[in-house]
Amino acid sequence: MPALYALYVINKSGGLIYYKEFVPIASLNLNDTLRLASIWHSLHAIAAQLSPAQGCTGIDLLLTETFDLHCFQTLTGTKFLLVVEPRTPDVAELLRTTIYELYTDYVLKNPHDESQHHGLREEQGPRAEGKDKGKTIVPRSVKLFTYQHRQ
Amino acid sequence: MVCYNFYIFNRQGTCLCYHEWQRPKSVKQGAGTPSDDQKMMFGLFFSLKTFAAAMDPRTENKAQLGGPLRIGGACTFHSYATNNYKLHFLESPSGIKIILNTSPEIGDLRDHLSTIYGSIYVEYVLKNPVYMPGKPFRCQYFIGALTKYLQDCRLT
Repeated sequence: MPALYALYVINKSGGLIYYKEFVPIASLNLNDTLRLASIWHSLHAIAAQLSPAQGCTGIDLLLTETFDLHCFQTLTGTKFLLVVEPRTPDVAELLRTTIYELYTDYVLKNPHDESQHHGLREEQGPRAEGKDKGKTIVPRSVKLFTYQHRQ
Repeated sequence: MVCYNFYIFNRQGTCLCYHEWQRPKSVKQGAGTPSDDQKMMFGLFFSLKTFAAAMDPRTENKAQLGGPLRIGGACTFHSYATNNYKLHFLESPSGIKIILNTSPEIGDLRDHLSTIYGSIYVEYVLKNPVYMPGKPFRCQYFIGALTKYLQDCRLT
């Protein structure tokens, strides 16, 4: 009996960055996963708003009869969802340490990473029109790397 | 071990009953007005039910995302937990939804919610000849019996 069904990584705007299913779940195509990720992003925020107690950060765990869904939200707003068999132990620990560390090491520390580009483009927008017309957009991590080298 | 508040909705989305014991974060800071809070809560559950039905790893007879769900059945989700509250949910076969917000360390309350529906809601509200189905109600005996039942359970 498999314990892990699927992993979703959602960016801070609610869009799906990564999806992996460990057990083939038929009738769930890519469009559905994209929609589910956006739905979850909104529900996470609404649950925090409706909280009867102060300082709620959103849904951490959803319990159903056929699966459990664990959500880990990082300080930057990225959410990691893991769909598991009910009552699987230690999933929160797995998300927080192993999966998050692998994501930061292999994805975020990659200087050619494309996933953070739309944020950068919006910031560069007005300035780019003024002075830097015609220059290519460089990932922020590469700019930091080259700046340090100049020092 | 604290109970914050309690809602009952019917299948059309009318909030039949709302009761709070404690609410450290007021409604104004959350949804704004009590009726907005209730509508938002109903909407949250409707969407969570659709979400859980689409995410269900069993593949036979799965509802399409955005399609209609059977009222009363096919609702597999029963609670969610956040860092500072836990929400328990029960939907009866007739579409009556019972929602209870508690502190997060409380365990599974499905049996308790079934008892609340069967022994308290049915006895004090549905069997009341003055009650009009589909309209919001206020019944002191119902709230009293509910509070007493929850107090008895909290000790266990």
